[in-house]
Amino acid sequence: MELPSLSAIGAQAVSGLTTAMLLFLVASGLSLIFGVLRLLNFAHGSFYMLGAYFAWQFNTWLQGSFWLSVLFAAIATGVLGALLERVLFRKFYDRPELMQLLFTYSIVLIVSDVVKYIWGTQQLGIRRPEMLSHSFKFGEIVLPSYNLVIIVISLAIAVGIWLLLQGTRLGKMVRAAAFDREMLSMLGVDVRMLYLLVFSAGCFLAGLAGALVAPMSAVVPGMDADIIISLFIIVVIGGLGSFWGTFLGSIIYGMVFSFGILFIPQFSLFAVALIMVVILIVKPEGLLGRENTR
Amino acid sequence: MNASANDLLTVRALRKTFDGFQAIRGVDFSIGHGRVHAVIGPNGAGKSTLFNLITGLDRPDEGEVTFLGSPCSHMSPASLCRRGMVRSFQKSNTFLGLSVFENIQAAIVSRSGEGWKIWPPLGRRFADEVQEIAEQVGIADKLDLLPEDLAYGYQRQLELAIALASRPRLLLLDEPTAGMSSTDTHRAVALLKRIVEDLNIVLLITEHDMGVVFSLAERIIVLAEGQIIADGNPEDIRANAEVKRVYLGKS
Amino acid sequence: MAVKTLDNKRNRLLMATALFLGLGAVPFFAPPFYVVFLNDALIIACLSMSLNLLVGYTGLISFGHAAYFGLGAYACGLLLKSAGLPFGVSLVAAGAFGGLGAAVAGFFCVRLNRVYFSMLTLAFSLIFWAICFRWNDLTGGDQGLSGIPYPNLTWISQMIGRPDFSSAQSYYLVSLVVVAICIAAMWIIVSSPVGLMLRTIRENEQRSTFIGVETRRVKLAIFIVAGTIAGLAGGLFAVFNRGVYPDFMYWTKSAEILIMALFGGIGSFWGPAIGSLTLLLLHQETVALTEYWSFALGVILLVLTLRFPSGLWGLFERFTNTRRSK
Repeated sequence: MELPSLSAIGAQAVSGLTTAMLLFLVASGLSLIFGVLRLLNFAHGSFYMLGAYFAWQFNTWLQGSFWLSVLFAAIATGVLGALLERVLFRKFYDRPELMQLLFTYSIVLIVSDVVKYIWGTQQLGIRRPEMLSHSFKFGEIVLPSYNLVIIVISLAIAVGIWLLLQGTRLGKMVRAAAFDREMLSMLGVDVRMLYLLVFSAGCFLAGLAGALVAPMSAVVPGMDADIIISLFIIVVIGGLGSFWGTFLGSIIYGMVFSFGILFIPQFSLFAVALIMVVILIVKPEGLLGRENTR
Repeated sequence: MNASANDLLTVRALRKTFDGFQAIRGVDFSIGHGRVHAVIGPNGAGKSTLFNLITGLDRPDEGEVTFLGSPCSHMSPASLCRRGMVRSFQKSNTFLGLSVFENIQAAIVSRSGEGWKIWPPLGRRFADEVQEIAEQVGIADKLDLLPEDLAYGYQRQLELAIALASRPRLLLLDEPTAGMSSTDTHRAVALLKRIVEDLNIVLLITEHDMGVVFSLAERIIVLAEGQIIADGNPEDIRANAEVKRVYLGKS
Repeated sequence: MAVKTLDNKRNRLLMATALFLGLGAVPFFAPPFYVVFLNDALIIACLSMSLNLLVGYTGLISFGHAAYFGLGAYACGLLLKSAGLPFGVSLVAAGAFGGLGAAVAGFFCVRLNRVYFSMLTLAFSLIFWAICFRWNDLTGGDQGLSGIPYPNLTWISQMIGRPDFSSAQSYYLVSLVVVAICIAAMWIIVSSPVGLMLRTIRENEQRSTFIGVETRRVKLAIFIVAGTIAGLAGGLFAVFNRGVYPDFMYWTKSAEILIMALFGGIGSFWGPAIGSLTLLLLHQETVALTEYWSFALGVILLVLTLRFPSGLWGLFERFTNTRRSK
């Protein structure tokens, strides 16, 4: 087998990192929602898809004001999430897991057709902003600037969330809800409000990622079913409900997938699924998780 | 205290640590003769942990549990049950979606080694034995109900019935009267006394209610901070200064 | 009491036999179109009933049941097409492959609880799916495996004295017999002592170990049984539709089976069969009217989870019980 050139490796690393960071934005929401609300949300991928479509829509209305469109799309997804939480999701927090899974799956089904109804089944695309359509060159390695911007934005958000979780009262409540329910009631928290906030924030992040991905890959129906599997693999690898675990999981997923394609294209899907299986067998709570699973 | 081959249960140098907290630190005792043995101690003394270690729910870090002459620290709860070590739980712990009849029937099926048979259909098989056990614990008129329809005292009796259906040699009861009214408690104590006599079972109980302990047990083991601080008959324990200090000091 | 249950049992057996004979009579008078539909419906009903052994009876929420259906389908299709084995042998092999896959996955899955069990079943189904999706040389990759030879079933049409029967009509009778055997096996299991052990695991697994049940072994056994039946269903389905596609094993297919089971009611033996039949009919009718089947299914599922968690069968029972008790 011929070894890939340095430039190919560099390109693959950047593309893997970009995928990883985008997935992290979505997965951190899923993980947070599971940690706090104890709800495994199949519909999380649907919010990601909606973010992409919203971005396309705003971009059309605002005639190419890209960053504003991204922001509006993320906000719209967050608001929609908040609405759905109030009207529907809330009713399922104390229900058996099977009911939760099927309920969230019903949202997946409904959203997928609503999207088809509104935006059709053809691919939609957004052009990246003019200033980000060029690439940097370091020797042989070509780095598209849009990817670099995504990596930077996502890293900034990751650090931001972490600071929020560590340093603020709100963050303390979230951590209490995830790890120590008794402490939560001792803190005197309005649990309903907390759940609403966490759910909505998770949707905001998913919508943001969907909007950011729009210029890089086609906006099509079916984005939801594919990403939700990636998300499950990531949170399982890292640890359901663990913030840095999700980060680590995203990196592993992005890299394995990206380099898998470079070396053995047929193998990458299999490889990430295999990692998920091995983790669940060896350390079911995930690399950085601490849930009791057996 | 030397373990002898005739002992039903021997616990030797048992230790268990959870996240740096030493729940059990070197516990030794054995159950040879006598009918009712009680483990008492303040909250957090390690009673439940000790029960979990003996019955295979948790694994000890060090030490050994021997049941009927064979080491059993590494046996599953299921195989211990088949050998005759059966337990109940502090919180009511039954099969909520099954009728009272099926709750008892399930334990009989499992004990009689039919749990792997797919033929013939089960139907109301073992109805006579279910009836007999239900009568022993006083729930014979409630067989078609679901456990959640039973009053709390009866739920605990159902649990006892499930345990008895496994035909225990040694029965461990974790706080058998916890949460009961005083009437229920009296009834439960009388019931336990009768069962011990009728069925030739050795009981090991933990209990908070000292009235229950002193009216049932002929031997009492006092646990504090994961260690045995006293072990003897009720009179000795009543007179033991260390026991008084622990109880008065803590509560 | 005892007499009544005996009667009850005999009645049920009579009803099941009548149902079987009634279904067997269908190709003799109904148009072929219905036979084709009913053939698929029977197979899918059997599949969702096999899932119900896990979900409804043992409380194991498997999110990867389609994998074993798919394994059986690929095994049967490949043995017929590439190895040229006879149909009967290939069908048995379909069951064996389904069971084998379930044994491998189940060995690990039964060690985990709740969400983690579901996740691992999902992960294994992704692995099986990825293999079939990518192993182009063997499985045809994303194009699937088409052109599976149809078995020669003229002996059946001759045996029943209807030489005019098409192969699809004869095949329907084969499906019916295989499905009936599977359902009978499942009925025997759930009404046996093992069935009660399964239910103790569903209700309270920890307590179950303390009445002496080796819960992991029991769970593994039922996982393998369910996988074997799913594999048989897959084999039947693949040959009848003359093709196998990776979609058969994708996670959305697993979700679909779960929905069917739940829609009919996982609290009962026949519920999942009724659920799949109803949903397949609805699907057929809806698709004729609109392309938005997912939306319709989503709304059905939403109403179901919000209002009728016990499914169609639960509704039916509630209705008949209130009438009887008056």
